[in-house]
Amino acid sequence: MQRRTILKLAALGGIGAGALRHADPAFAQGAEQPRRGGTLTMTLTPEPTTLFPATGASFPIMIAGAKMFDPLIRLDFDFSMKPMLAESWDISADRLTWTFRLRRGVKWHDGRDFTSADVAFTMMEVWKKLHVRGRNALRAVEAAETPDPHTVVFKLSAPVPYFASVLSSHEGVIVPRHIYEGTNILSNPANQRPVGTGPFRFREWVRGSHIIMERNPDYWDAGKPYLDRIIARIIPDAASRAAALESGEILLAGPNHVPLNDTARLGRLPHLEVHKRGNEYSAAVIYLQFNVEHPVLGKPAVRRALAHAVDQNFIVQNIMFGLGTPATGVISPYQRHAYTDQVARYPLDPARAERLLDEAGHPRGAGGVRFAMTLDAYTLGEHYVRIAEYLREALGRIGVRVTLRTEEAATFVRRVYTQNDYEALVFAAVLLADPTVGLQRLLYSGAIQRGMAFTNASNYRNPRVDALFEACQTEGDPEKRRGYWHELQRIVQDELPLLALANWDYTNISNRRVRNFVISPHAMFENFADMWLAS
Amino acid sequence: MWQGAITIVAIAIFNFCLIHMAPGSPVDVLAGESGTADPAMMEELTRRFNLDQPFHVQLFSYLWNMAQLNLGQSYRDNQPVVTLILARLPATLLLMASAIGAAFLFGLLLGVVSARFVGRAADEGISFFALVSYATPTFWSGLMLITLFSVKLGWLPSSGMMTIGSDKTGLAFMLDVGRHLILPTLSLSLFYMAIYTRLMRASMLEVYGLDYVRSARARGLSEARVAFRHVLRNALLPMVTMVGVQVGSILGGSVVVETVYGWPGLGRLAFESVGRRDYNLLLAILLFSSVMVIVTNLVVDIIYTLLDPRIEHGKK
Amino acid sequence: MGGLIGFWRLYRRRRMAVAGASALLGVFLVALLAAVISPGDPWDMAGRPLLWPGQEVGFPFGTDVLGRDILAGVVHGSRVSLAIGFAATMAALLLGVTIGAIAGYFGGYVDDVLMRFTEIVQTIPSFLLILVLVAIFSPSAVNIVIAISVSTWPPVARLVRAEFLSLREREFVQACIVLGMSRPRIILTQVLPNSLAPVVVISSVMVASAILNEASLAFLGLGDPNIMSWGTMISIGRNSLRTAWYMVAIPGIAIIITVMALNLVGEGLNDALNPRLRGR
Repeated sequence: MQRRTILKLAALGGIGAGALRHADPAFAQGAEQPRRGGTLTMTLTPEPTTLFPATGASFPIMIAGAKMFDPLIRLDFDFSMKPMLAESWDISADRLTWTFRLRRGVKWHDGRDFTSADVAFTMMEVWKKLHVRGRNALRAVEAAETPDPHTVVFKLSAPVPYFASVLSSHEGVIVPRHIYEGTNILSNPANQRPVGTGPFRFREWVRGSHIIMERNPDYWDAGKPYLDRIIARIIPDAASRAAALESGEILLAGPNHVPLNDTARLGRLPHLEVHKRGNEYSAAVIYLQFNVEHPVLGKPAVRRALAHAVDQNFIVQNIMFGLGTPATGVISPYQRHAYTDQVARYPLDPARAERLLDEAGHPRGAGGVRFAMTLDAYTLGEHYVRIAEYLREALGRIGVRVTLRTEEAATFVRRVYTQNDYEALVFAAVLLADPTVGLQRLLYSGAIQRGMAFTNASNYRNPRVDALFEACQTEGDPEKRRGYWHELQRIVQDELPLLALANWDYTNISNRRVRNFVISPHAMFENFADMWLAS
Repeated sequence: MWQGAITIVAIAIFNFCLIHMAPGSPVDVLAGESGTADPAMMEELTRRFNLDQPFHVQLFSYLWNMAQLNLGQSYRDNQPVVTLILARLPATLLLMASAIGAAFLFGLLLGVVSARFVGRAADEGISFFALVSYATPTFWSGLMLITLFSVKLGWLPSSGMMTIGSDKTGLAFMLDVGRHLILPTLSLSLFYMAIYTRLMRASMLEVYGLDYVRSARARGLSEARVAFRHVLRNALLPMVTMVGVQVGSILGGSVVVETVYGWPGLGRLAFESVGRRDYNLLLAILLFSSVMVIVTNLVVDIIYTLLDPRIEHGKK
Repeated sequence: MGGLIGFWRLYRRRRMAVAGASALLGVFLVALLAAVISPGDPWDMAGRPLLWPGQEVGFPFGTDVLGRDILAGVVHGSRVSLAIGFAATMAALLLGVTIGAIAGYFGGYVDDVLMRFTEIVQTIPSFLLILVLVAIFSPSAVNIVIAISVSTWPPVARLVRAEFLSLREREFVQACIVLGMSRPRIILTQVLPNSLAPVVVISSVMVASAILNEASLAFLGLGDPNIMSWGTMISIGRNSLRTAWYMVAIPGIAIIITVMALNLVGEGLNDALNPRLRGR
């Protein structure tokens, strides 16, 4: 009992498990007997660059990789830890020593034994050095000791409240030491033909077309997986992906794989099911981000005025087709342990917006224009452009002349994050399980780093906000931490370096033949060992 | 031969300069895709891709590698670009061949019919059809064909090159690819079919008027024989020339068609490599396209001499 | 004046050419009167989103995903398509005529170098080149015009060069040289005007293909986000193809009509200006 409490605490203070269980279709289907066999076809987009998932580099790599590589643990809906390659674990009272006891008899796909050396290697040589989030999050990990082949001990220099989430599921897959040690890990040929311990083995990858993974008959969880194989198809055109789902050519599509309007439409078809559940871990929020060094947009009063000109409901209804909710602040409501709605609100009120702009010293001038601004849209997603088009009209009505710029991703990233040559932009951030992992990089003054994508390009500096982020990095008491997060949301929603436009519900779409799809908050990023196909 | 080599080197230099004028580097894109990156890693990547070298050094080493037939590695995929291109080439060649073939064949047929019934309803109808086809944007006809044949009627697949995982072989496999090929071929060939139809019609009419054809008729050769032996053969010349001229344009058009139909070809790879700033890959694709254009024109020249009526008459 | 009337006599002999000219005139009128036919901003979210054509009286062509009037988009889009088409063609003509004229008039070494360069540009598939140029620079109207013109001038250059090569040897040009006229003057006043007929013919087809290129760019998401062009409308409607195909169909038809009209005019010009080819 003692250990469970600590575990939950370690895994982010958790959210109520009971309420969620009832809604889980997997449980409703519990009466059915899983059926062996069958091929799952799913979409994968954009095409992955490699199949080496341990750097956490991009969604498609992690989605494909999670089927072939297993982690130590996975998280349940309440964010508690469940055994995977680790059968059990102990966490010292000071939470500086984490001991994992590994499953015995696990083999790599090439027949070699899986041991603690693989785990230690992955931690010290891969995650700490190459994992895009792990490098930062695992800074406190000092050593990975291997007292015997089936035990690994992580030594931390300071407590990491979100340690479990970094180790779990697709974020923390273990890779084989015997293949990667002493090589250039990122360009190792095995990245094209991966060797893991997961329920599916790599079979072929035809670039521009598909990846095939087939059942691993020696999987440690006897009898699983149920599926014979998985075909991940690469279909570059979003509308074609929707068509393939509709015709049954594809049985499963991941988040953002289908245009938002098609998602709403497909959800009404009898053979398809749209899942909001299973994406809790992503917690995406769409923001209007301001460069606070801009002479006009730098004034909080101006930003508040602009906020009053924006109808979030219009965005949610007409651009996101209901697949989201109006946002109240920078933190997503999916991050229940941190979220609050007790913050300043900016209801749609163009008259008030105009008054505020008058007061801020920007009256309507020639042609009714108060000031002009350029708005960039992140183009890897059509809805960003639509939202930007909406904002141009909405702000135009209160006398702000907006010019859009839709440069493609490379130019956008360089302009915004390297040269910081922009005024405002529309983009979405995936906040993941905890604001420390997903949000801090956007608002912390230490994250004003040129050349680093998706960091604090607002140039926002607030000592109190910095202090709150720092406190949350190490605070072990969930209640205290929650208090910090609440205060942070109030400050940011007051100053608005980021104006949250909408909480975006990531959705997956599955054919109703697909069973046991949403069994954890990772849905698409699960290893699919439990998935089966009804006839 | 030397001329060709010099042209290719000049093209390579031209492309290289063009692409290196671009703001944004592959490292930015990799950082953008991963959602986060740190300066150390980005420096590492910049070094690995040789992007920290001055421009002329990069250009020189690119040309030096090219001379050794090494077009470099893709920044994103960590694979030789030639491997990536060769993987996509068959799909594009298949689509192009089938589009040119269809355009040529139907253009020929419609042109002959049109010329045979010049001024009558069939001619008017075919001419109008050619006119509309010539003015229709490829992507638009693609979308409309999908709407009709895939969405409304459900007859043909809307995307991809084959039913993946069906493990079909032999004839079944070819039929499967064929089914996937119909709509993209149609979209890509409409424009060229219009050109060939009109070209064929015009040259048929012209050749009909020539002396030796008249004399052939006077000698009492049958109408069909005149049409096929003399007229058609000579009218083919401008059409063959046209194929040479159009290869580049068909390659460009395949970017759009491959995007609409999810066809795993070179055109889409080119489009993707632009977005990813995968310089080596993009340069190699541009070079490949140019070489393809040059080679096709060589082949056309050869066919031309084979078909040339003067040679034909010389034999007689 | 007499020449013009003669030209018109030749031109109007072709029914289709006259039809094309009328259609083109119609498109021009729509572009000119856009503000009258459909006042206000085409980006304005004027109605309920996703209205089908005819579903509501105020929106005969329906509305798009954000409730923007498709009629307004088509009407204002005509301006964009024509403007980009003509601007790109003018720029390409300027480039092509200049290069072709210099190469053709001076011949020799200059000709070799310029024609080799022309060949190089011509071996790169033009749409691929346009795509690369627009993608690596920012997609704006000006950049689109530049990209299209940079990729489409070679045929003009070759055409003008050929004309110049033959005209250079003609008596009236030789006479001017003997008379001691300066080279630029000979080129501009004597040779150029006499070589323009084929350029005029090719230019209307170039406008048509520039319009198609702009539409394809916009379709691939590389249009100027601040101007409502037909290609942009299609790209917006594309994701709703299955539910609201009218959003793609209507601007597509506008493109077809315009491009067809331009091609017909080009043919009419060809017949009228190139007596050799008449009757084909």
